[in-house]
This record gives sequence, structure tokens and C-alpha cells, in this order.
Amino acid sequence: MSDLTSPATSEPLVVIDRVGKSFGAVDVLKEVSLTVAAGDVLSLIGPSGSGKTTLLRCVNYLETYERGLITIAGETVGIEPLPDGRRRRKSDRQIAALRAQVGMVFQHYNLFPHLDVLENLTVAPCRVHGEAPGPVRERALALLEQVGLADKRHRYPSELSGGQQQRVAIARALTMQPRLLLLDEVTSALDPELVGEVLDVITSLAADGITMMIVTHEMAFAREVSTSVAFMADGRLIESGAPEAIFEAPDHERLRSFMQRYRAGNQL
Amino acid sequence: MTTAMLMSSGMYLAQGALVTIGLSLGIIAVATVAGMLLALLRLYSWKPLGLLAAAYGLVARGVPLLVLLIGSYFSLPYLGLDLPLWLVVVLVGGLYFGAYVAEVFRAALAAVPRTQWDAGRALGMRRVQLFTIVILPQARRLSLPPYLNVALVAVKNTSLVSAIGGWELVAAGREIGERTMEILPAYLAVAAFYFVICFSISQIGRHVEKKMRYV
Repeated sequence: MSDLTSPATSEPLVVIDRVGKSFGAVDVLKEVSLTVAAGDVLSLIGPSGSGKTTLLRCVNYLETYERGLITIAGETVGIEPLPDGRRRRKSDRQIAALRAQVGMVFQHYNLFPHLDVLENLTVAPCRVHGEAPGPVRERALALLEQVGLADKRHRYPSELSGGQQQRVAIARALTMQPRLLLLDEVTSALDPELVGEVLDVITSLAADGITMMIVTHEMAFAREVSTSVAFMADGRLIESGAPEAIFEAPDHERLRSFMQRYRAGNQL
Repeated sequence: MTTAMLMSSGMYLAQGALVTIGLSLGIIAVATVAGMLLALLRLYSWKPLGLLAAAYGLVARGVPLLVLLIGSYFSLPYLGLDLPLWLVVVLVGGLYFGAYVAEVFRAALAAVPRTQWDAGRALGMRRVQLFTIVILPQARRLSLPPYLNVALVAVKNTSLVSAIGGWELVAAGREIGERTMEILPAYLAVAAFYFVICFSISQIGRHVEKKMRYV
């Protein structure tokens, strides 16, 4: 969308450049290239096993990758390419520092069960990144307010519904004030009636201009919230573009049949 | 038996019980530290060290404590180490039960879902921070019941000390039995003391477990 207005000088926030990854003999990612500009919402769609989640986990280096390079705001993710062409893993400190700027929300929430809701939000900024407790607490409470759970701040995760836990997980990621938020199938584990409340929160974040990469099977949501959509299959990026183009006028046969199957499933 | 004799016998047994409690606390302290170390070696260290820790566990759990106690108490002087009996018991008992505690901690640490590591990493936590802030508190709670179980066995196994000439609760009971010719009542009293000690540990454990519960 910003292609017409901003010249080539504005570097995208995330650059994924010909990234490849193998699990043993299986190539799970093949030459995937993508960019995400600041403020963009990119949805990754595609069949199960297509590599969407793996790609997302490479972006904050929860997974390593063997080929290509990912950069966030000009900084390479997890790997230092050496002048002689070899690759060196960055130090744990560097990797942790980068992850602190990239929020992630997981399919199964992964809240810390031994901490209450507020502590889940404040523990990393206060105890790991050395921020003063006062401002962090205020920020956390404001975020809980935003996701509609301020009254649950002293509850433990196990006392909350799945939808509430996932909203806490989103607030936890945002308390870190990340430049980029990664959402990995965040509604897939939820009961159908709880999906809406989580999607509403994400939609409001998109409206606030938070840069997001979203792996999702919620096609209607992806179409509505995204600035661009990328379709993956068999570890390859098949097609990417504006949501209208992807959903209405797909170029590739693979994407057309995926959409057809999706629509057929939806009409049942 | 007169009341005075009963009283003095009771006091004598109580002294034996104090020795038993002291030995038990020493053994459990050593076992806890050793167990934590062994578990960490096995789970997170350099592979060869982990294998060494595993081998240690197999040996320690594969030999009776009595054999280890006799073996070390009577052979250490030949190595120039003339340690008092109580210290040998605390060290050998502690290292022996450390192998069991290591299994308890290892299972508890491994039982914390991998996804908790993911969550911590994604928040920029480094290994040690993640371990102490996220993993350890959850593992501690999981390990408490089996850990107490090991502690109870350790308390009761201090009775082996009387078999290598040491003095504690069982030895005190035997002396009283021989002196008063009331063998069965003497051992019943000894059993009662053990029960009270172990019951107290269980109760404290239940209390701690409740406090650690996060619904």
C-alpha cells in the first residue's frame, strides 16, 4: 500500500530473503522471500505443514534456518554472515535482545501458570530487562484494560477461559513494547464461541498501527485485517499480494484450489 | 516398671530421636544439593558429564545403603580420612539419596512443557533467567510429593547406623529393651517415635504443597 507513496528509501521493517530450512532430509522452507513494512499486517495462509509456523518461528529465532537471511530493522536475526560466506550463530545475549523487540503469541497461549495475570505481563520487563516496576505496571494495567481483562489481574491463568488466556498472552507480548508482533494460529485452540473476542483484539491492534505477522486459518479475518497476504504450500511462498488479489483473483492453481476447498468447507 | 523408669526410658529414646532427626536433616540437605546438581548435569550440561551423572545414579541406586555405609566407614581410615561416624553417615547417606532426589528433580524439570521455554525465550529471557523465573518454580511444585517420599525413606534408613555401631533411635530402643527386658514395648516405642517424625514431615509437606498451589 505504501509502495506508491514512499520511495525505495524506506527500508521495510522485516526482510526475509531466500530463507531455507531443513529438518534432516526434508526441506521445510525453500527460498522464501517476503518483506513487511512498519505498520503492515501480513497474514500467512496455506495448508497444514506448509511451513507457515516454522517461518514465523524463524523470525524471532525460536527456530534456526540454514539458508538465506532474515533482518529486522536492518539487524540480522540469530545469524551473523561472515565475509568468507560462512554463518555464525549470534551470542545468546544478542539473540535475547532481538527477541525482546519481537512479541510472540502462541496457539496454546503458553502463559506462566505459577504467576498471576499481572505478573505474567510484568515479569519479563521487570525481572529480565531491568525496567522500573512502576511504569511497567501502569503499562500492563492499561493493556489489560485494552483487552478487557483489568478485573482479572490477580487471577491465575488456569482460572481463565481460553479466550481470556489468549488475550492475556497478547497483552503480555505488548507489555514488552515490541516493534513487531508474531501471532501463531492464536485462535486454533479456542472454542468457536471464544474466537471472536480474540480476533476483535487483534483487529484493534491493527487499527493502532502495530506491525504484525499472522499465521491463521481464519480466512475472513485474514482478508479483513491484513494489508497483505502470503500463501505458502510445501515450504514455498506461492503467491503474495493485497488481500483482494489473493482472495478474489489468485494467479496460481495451488492457491485457487486451496480457496475453493476453503469456500466449500465454509458453505457446509 | 515404675513411673520413674518409664520417664527416664522415654527421655533416653527422645535423645535417640534427636540424633535420628539430626542425621536425617544432614542427609536430606546433602541429598538435595547433590540431587539438584546431578539433575542439572543430566538435563542441561555437556553430554559426557550428563552420562557420568547418569552412571553415578545407576551405581548409587544399585547398591544397598548398608553396604555403602559399612564399606566407607571401615575403609576411609585406610585412605587417611578419619571422619567421625556421623559425618560419614551424612555424606554417604546424602550422596546415596542424592541419586534418588536427582531422579525426582529430573522428572519434574522435564515435566514442565517445552512451550514454557518458548514463551520465556520469546520474551527475551536467557537460559539462566528462564530457568530460575519460569521453569524452577513449576518444577519445584511438581517435585514436592516424590521429594518428600525420598525424605521419609531417608529418615527411616538412618536406623542402619545402629548396625555399624552408631547410636541413634533404634540403638537407644535396643538398650532399653535389654535393660528392662521389655523388648516388644521398647520397639513399639521406637516405632512410635519414627512415626511421629515421619508424620510431621508429611504434614509440613502438605502445608507447603497447599501454599505452592496456583489453582
